[in-house]
Amino acid sequence: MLEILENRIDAAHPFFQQIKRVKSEYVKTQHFKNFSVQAFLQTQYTSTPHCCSSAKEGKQLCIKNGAVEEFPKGVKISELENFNVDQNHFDPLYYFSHSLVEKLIFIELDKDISFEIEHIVDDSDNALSYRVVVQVGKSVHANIYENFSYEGVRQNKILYGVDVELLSSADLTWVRGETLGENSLDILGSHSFCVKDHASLELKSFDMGQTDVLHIYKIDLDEFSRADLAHLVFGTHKTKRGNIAQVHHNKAYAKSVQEARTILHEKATGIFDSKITVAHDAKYSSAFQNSKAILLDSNAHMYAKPQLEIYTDELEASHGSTIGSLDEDALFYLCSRGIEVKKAKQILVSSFANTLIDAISKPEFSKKVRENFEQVYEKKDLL
Amino acid sequence: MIHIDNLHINIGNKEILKGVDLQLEKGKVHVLMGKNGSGKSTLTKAIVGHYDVDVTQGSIMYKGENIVDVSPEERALKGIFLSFQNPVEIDGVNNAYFLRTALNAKERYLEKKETNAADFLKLMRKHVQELGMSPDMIARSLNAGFSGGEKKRNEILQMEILEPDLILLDEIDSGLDIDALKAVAEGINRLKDSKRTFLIITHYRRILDYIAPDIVHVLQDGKIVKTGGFELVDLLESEGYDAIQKDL
Repeated sequence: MLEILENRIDAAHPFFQQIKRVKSEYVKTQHFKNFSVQAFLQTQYTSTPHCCSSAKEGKQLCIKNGAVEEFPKGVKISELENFNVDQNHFDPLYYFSHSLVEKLIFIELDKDISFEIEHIVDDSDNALSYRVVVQVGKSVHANIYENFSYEGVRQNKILYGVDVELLSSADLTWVRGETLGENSLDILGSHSFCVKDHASLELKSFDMGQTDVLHIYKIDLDEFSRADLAHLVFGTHKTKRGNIAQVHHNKAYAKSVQEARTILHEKATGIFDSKITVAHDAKYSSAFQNSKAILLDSNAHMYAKPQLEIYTDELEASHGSTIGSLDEDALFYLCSRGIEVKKAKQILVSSFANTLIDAISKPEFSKKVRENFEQVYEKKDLL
Repeated sequence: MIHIDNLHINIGNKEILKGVDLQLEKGKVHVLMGKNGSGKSTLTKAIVGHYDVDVTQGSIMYKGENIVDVSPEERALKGIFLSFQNPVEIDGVNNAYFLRTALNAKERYLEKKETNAADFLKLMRKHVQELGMSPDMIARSLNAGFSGGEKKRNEILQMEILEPDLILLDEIDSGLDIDALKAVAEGINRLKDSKRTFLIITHYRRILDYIAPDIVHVLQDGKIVKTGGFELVDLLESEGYDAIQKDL
């Protein structure tokens, strides 16, 4: 399958060698085996000019069909032509998506700010590929809520990604909500986050739509940095959805916490494939990883692969994964108080999701995600 | 209130109750005592319809109806309440939301007007205060991270708000300190009236000194072997279960 990719990139292109480098490991991954990667590799993409000269100052950062239409006050937007890609990324699609875009959207955050990124797609004919580069300045605190929406789009694809750099002591909360409707947009996001010393990243994704969506993250942690990662996936019908991550503790005293929760109904497939690597020099690291999945239907499938790769003795680390149905004792407890079985099951599924939603540090983001979840969840007769 | 006749219960392939005959009278406080493993908790599970228990023989007549095949939620709506020995922790379910959902379900069943959020909060605050609970328990996740004492008080809080007719308390006194025991006992006493029936499972007389039961039953090897007054508690406290064995 990766031959398709090699055929699409010139052998002289520097990314060609990068793709060859990661190829052998890539074919062993859960997403390669269980997500429709091939469909993304075969698609012909359109890469539009990224920053419209007509982009206006507004309330949010609005990216329509891959081009910036509106940007909030305090956010510096420009086009970036020569970007130094992450040379050690594990995902061939990271290099593939970079090879497709000539210009990237560059967002520079040099003062404390809170804003939304709204991706809007209304083009059914052209699959899109675009990338965003974000730099959070030294000691800057930034909060971003990212959302995808579509207007009348049928069965289109987006190959997307962000390269984010948090400079020393920066603090970034990035929450992504996504409730795309059936047969609208399939998304593959391949990202890179570089968290410098004493910086802190809170990255939380809430994928609750009815299309195929996969996000791939590489996260690099420097000394005394921190990454709080959380992923909620709610899949129905035949959707395939998941999160892939590699978290690298490169220096001492970094901390990473990754919590994934997946709810699968009907014939949905969930994927969680994540590895935390603690380097020899990354002494006194703390690394915790956990994946929990609830299967609401016997036809639903979950592929979970939590991994730790540790090259130092002085650290605190744990990882784990559970896949099961709803807790019978909890269900009985609710029913024993007169709550009907269907309602009791709904309460338990909501509670499973709420533990991640409640943990978002920004209450305004948490409120948005909860509203989205309730809207999607209550619309479906799941149980 | 409830009439249990020749009840045989299996859990898995093992017979736990081997022909229980028990009548619980309206307005009375009954106590059930027995050695560990005698089948006390299994009996309460059978009354509330737990998925573990398999009724192989006999009947449970509640308000004139055999409820053996009635679902657990319907039994609850009909007024049966079990305070669990080890209440489950459900992270992410708000205590107040859960209890209001349960109360509203009961109100709908009884064709009463549903209590709105504001009135419910007032009601919950009042009971929380009476039970000496911390007000923050209203907004916390259901039993999640609660101490043993807090869980037991939370069971009594649910009992007081749902106002059931038949109340089964499975070792409600276990793990409680003196203050918590008193608060729980006071909660039980507040609900005692001529229409409501209690079945209290306990190993000790401490809580019974506060509650003053009417009738005491002893369960042994899956059968009720003795029924009497408070003097039975005294006998068991002083001589142990061997005293009952001698009479059989």
